[in-house]
Amino acid sequence: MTIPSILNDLIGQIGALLRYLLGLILPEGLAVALVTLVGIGVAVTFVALLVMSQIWAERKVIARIQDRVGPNRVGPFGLLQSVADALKLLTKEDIVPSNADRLVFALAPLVVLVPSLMIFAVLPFNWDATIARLDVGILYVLALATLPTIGIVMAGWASYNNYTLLGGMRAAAQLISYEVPEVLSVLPIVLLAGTMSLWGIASAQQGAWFILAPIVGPVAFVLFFTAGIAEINRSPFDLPEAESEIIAGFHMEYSGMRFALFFLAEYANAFSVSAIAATLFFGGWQGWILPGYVWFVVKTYLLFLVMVWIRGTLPRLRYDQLMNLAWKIMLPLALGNVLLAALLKNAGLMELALSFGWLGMIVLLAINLVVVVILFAGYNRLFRAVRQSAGLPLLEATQPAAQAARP
Amino acid sequence: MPGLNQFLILGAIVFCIGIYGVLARRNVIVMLMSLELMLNGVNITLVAFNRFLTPPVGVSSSPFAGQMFALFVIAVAAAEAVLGLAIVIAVYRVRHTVQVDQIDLLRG
Amino acid sequence: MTEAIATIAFWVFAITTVVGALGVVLAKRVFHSAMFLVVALGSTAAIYVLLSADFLATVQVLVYTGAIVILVLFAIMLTPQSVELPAFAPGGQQVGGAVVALALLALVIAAIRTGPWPLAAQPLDQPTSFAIGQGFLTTFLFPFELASLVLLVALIGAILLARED
Repeated sequence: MTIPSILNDLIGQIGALLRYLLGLILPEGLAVALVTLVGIGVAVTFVALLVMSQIWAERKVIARIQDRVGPNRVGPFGLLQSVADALKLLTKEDIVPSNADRLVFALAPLVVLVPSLMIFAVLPFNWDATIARLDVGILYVLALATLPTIGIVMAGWASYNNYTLLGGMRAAAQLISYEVPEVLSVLPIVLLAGTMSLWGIASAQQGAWFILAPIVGPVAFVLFFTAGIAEINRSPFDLPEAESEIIAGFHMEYSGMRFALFFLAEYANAFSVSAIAATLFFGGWQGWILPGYVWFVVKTYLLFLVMVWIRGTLPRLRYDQLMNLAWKIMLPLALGNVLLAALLKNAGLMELALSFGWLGMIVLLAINLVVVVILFAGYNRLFRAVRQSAGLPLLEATQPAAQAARP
Repeated sequence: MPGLNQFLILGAIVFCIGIYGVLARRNVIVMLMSLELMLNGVNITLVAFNRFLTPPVGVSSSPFAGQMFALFVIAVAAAEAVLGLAIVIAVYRVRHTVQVDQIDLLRG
Repeated sequence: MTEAIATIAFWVFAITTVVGALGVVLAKRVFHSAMFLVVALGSTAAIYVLLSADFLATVQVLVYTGAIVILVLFAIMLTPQSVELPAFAPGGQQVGGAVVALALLALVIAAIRTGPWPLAAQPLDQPTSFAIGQGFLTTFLFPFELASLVLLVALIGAILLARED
């Protein structure tokens, strides 16, 4: 069963055709510039359409988890619900608080949205379909993931509202706390692949996916995914923007199209985090029979559905539980993971483990699951034992004291 | 592609703007930000030298020594900004001001 | 073609860097200075990309705009001041500062223009990450460890200084 090779690089073929056609009537440089602009437009439109499909999928899946149906009025199966939402947001009145700093207020959604769009430039959709094949791909992604924090602080401050300011500061504290485990959890993968380029990491997984790396792989995936969910302010880490909290968060004063930009940024970020996780841990475009980009989108979507599943199932974390998780649990685990990865790689065990065939991969997966469960349970027990032996109260017991001590 | 001189002049301009900021502003946080600007100007100069000049020779050198120097500058700038701002916050708790001309006496 | 794009990119980012830097020192409100600082530091990262320092550019965005600017924003939030306080030093000091800055700029530009620089035959345009990593772990190991110690000391010191008690 073969797929015609033209499907493998559809976008590239269309771009080459366009450049040829434009080159017939325009000078060379101008044709290239125009094709680049058209490419950027296509990419942004692709992101927007993707986000619309994500919103639909999320609302339907969350609804089914919560034993209801979800949108089913607008279009067949509610497929046009996102279109209706977009139209509603576009036609809403644009309210700016009277004492707000207008320029900062207007720029904040852009500072949150543009880095999410920039991440799409380095995603390897196929072995020859990356917009920019950077040598420092994963570092570029992590650097861009730190920028929306500034936008959130800007939004909180510019709204001239005590509650948005507090919400913005709490959101910023959460985001910077989860940056450290996120960066550290990516280090073992860079170590295994020997390169920081996303294309290189995906193509280094030809034999076996990095999530199957003994012990290091699943732990790194869990840490990265959790930190990624926290970075994009999704449930169960969405305290800064929760609709059911009194402090509605940093985007309380935003309405209409400005709010739509925040909304778009959250889902574009969700797609980026899933896509990066798919590239780092699940082999990116590697797959059989189907073209590479189909596998990439399928894997990313499956990871996004895992995010939706987590959102529908787990309760929201309280603020101090959130900070505890980042600094006291995920950071030591991430550091230990890096150490373990370096030791195993140096001993040559990594190459050995990842070089087995099919049966080996399944056996590795089983061993990994057992080891990870033992590790997490053991860490939990060790932590409790250490605290009890030091005479300190356990984590659950400290919370009421912290609540009572707050003025 | 502009030559070495253009990059060096850019670094010098940023550095001098930083100097003006440190001398002419009263808010100590703005002075710290101007300090960061000065360090950035120096970094631009270092990286421009790295790219355009003949590589250093010798056993204790590397073709990217300029960029590594700039990385150390970034690390030390981060450490210094952290400590400077912590001091600012600590002083604010006592004096309730961040204007430098109101914090110029050691005693009340 | 690439040359033209590189030249245009340099001028665009050089202008945004200088505008950002001027905004930092001339803006009346501290928050606006912080916003201009983001612009200046981001444009500097773009200049690094033009100078083929890819690793350094991403580290600049990661550390400077992603961490130090947020630190500055937190400090601004924790030290609220009334806006009516004078933002600039008294007039004489402003003029003196401008004279010093301009004199230094003239001196440095004169130094740049005189004397030929020992230019390499070919500008250094290689991928940097691997070489920088190797350099950190072999030639420059001691400064590397010392830098991590400096950061540790800064971390502990900042926590101690900024505590509520």
